[in-house]
Amino acid sequence: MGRILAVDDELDMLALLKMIIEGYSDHQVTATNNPLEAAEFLGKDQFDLILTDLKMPGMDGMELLAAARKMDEDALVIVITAYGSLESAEEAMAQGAFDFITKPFRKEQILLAIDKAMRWREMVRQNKEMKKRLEGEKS
Amino acid sequence: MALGKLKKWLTGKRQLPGKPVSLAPPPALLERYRQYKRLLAANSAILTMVTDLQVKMNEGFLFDMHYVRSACQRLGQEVEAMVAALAAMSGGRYPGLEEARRRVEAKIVQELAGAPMRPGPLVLPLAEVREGQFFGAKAEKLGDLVRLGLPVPKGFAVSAYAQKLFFEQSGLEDFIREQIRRSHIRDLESLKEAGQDIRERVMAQELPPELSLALAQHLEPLGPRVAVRSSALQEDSLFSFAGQFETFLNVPREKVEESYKEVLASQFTPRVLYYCHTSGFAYQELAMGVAVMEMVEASSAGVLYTADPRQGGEAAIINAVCGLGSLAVGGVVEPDIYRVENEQIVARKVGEKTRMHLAAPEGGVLDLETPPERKGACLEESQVLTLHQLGATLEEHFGLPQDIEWAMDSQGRIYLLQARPLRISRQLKTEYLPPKLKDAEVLLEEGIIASRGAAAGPVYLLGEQGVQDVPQGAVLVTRQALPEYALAVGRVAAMVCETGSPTTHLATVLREAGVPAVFGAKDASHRLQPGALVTVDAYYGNVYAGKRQELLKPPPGDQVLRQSRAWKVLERVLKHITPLHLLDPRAESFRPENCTTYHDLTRFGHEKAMAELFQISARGPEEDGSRRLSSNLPLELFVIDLGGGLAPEAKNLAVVTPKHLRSRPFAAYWRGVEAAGWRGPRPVDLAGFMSVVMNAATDTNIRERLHEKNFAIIAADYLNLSNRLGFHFATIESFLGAPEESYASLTFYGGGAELERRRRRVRFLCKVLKRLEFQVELKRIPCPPASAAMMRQLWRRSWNSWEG
Repeated sequence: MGRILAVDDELDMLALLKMIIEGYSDHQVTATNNPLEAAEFLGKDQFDLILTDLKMPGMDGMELLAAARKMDEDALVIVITAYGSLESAEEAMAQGAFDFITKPFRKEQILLAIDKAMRWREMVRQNKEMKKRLEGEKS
Repeated sequence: MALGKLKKWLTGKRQLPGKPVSLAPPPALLERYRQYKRLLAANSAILTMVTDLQVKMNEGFLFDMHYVRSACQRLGQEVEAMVAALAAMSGGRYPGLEEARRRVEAKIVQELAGAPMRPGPLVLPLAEVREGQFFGAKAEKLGDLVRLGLPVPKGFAVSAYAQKLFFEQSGLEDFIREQIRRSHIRDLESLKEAGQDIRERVMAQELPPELSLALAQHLEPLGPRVAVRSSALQEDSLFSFAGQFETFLNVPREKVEESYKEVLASQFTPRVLYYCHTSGFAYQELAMGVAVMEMVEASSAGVLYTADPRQGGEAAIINAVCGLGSLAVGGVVEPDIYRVENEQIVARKVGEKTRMHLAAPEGGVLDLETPPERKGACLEESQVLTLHQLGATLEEHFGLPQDIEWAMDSQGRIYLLQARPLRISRQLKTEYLPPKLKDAEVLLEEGIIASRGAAAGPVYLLGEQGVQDVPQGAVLVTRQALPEYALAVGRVAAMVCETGSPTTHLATVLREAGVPAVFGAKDASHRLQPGALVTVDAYYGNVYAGKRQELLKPPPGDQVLRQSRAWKVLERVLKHITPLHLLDPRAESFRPENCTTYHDLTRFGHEKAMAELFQISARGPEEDGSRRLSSNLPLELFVIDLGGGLAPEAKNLAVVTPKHLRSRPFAAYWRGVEAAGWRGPRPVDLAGFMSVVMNAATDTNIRERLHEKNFAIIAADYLNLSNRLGFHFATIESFLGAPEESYASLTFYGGGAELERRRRRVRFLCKVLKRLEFQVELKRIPCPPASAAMMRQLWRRSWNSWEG
């Protein structure tokens, strides 16, 4: 079970994301339509994964991505892009996003993307732990 | 003079000094063809977009209102372009079409905007609250329960219109707009402050006197304490997470107005204000109804799920706490949990229930430590089963598992406080089926999915009989995917076509009706035996022998997706887009004013555009831009190239040869003519000769035709050939583009001979062409037509014959 922060200014999409993810997986979703509030959440809470729309008024997904990576260099971010804006998705990937998904998408797509991200997260965690142990043994 | 020109052409020396003759096609002709191409592009874009919308709606996609709006806008633009192109092609012959388009567009715009909030009752008893009156989902559902005779506390509801009236009259609306305008979208604090200011202002305003009066009147018959509950218009899908709307329990009568205002004020959270910044403030989204119900002096209360929310299936889950139900969810205390299966309690767990809520004497809720004597089970077995029964009644009535709030008073009477559809989670891919079933006889495979689903039935091959004879429940098998087969959609279990693509008119109609269909199933009419029972798997494009039960189970529906507002709006919008009413172009009803959907408009536009294009030869092209085609055949033929029909090196040639032909349909035609050869008119016997002479002498049309030149108007993908071979006139028209828009048609106008001979010839041709799968229509008309209606369809080979 993981904690996911979902950010999308389109309320319908946000409500759907929450319902689908919580309905079909064990993850808990904190949802907000306001990216500024999302940034605030990131400062207060620990999330395993961030799902964010790219184009939002006030603060776009790219800024949120940067903010999340600044707070935690391992922050996992999946960006959601509108159909036909592949360039921005590529840019987000270059800026350190873990994955991207294009709207509209099937529920299986988002669930599999989340699953992949969560497994990656676990691997990174184990990797770090082992490295630490290795270094401990060395010294 | 005409003779002189002809001579010039025949000699191929048209570039005479002083009077150059243009080889460019006549501008009017070119323009018409350009419009036709534009129309075809729009046609194909429309069908692709419609297919996409249907797929997004029915195949488990997540999408939002932005997607629905922009897709409708793009679609609308293409339909507009198509109608404009037809108007340009026909010289404005179908003014009714643009009017019909505007009507459809207006309906779509209206669906997208949502129903406007109209003045209505401010307050109604729960029993009279129904859907569509803007009381919000919760109050409407309670109205249903009351009318079903189920135990619901006495009460009434306040409409969202009442809120609108309140906000308008008190100046709150202007104040809210001003606050939204003044707050900064990039500053969370300013949004919070704006929300606070709005909430304070709401609380400070007096309610409109008529609302105040109505509240007082409806409170009169109720007990001294009530519960005031929010009933948002967009409860489940939209703002549910944007702010937990307030519910106030145990409110004394004199404080109801205040609680009502507090419920309204609870909407203005920073999230909602952020949303309003971009989307504006609209009452359809930001107004709520409120339900006011007599307080139940609950000894216990809780939640009832009529199915197991983790797995679905036949089990009811009931949880219960002591006192008021406000602690039943939220995890503060551990409630009692009962699981009921087959009318029996199969599991029971008495929770810790460390704390409980009770109605405070002065109003409001008391939070207490649960006294030891109340720590046992909250419900007796019979009460659990009664609750289960009530739940089953609701589920049966609404057709979906329900999530119900209940309370029980000290006498053991149970009341329903709220009900809504239960969200059931399912594990992904629980019912995975492989692309190809094992141990099953595969009759056809790798077809194209035209409409998803699966169904079984006996094969019915469409042959000479019409679609009206297709029996109920059959699997209809056809060679082509013609739009008029849609007439059988209400009767068939599934469809299999040898040709066709998902973007044809027929596929759109099949998806609309939910009839599974596989297209592009090569050789289906030979491999599927008439009468044999088969299962059409339109998830993977296969057809199996017999009835494959495992495929016929409906897949787990995406009820969750269907509750979203965007999905519901798309469903409503598609009713003005996908249905096709104009099925048969021969029918009297095939008229612009009968177009009530974008699909109708598209179908009509395309059909008429083909007819209009056909006319370009009937009007007798100008000699401008024509070049002579010189060949070994004794054919006097002139070519007008609209673009790409001739090789570039022929650009300045007044005489071209077959090797210059680049028009794909014309090149194909020419290959055929060259292969068969033609030596000119056959010598006729005396009777035949006399009949020609007699007819030609009396029929001026025939004589005129004899003097007409043969023209081929061509483009890279188009041929319109008016051809005279001796005394026989025919027009061949063909467009060779994408499969859905390609066609070949032949119109034979009879010849110069007397009637009986012409008839025999026509009957013979008719047989030959039918065998070649042309659609044939015979017409008997007094004289060769200049503007007779043409019958052609998408990807149809057709043939018309006029017996003179």
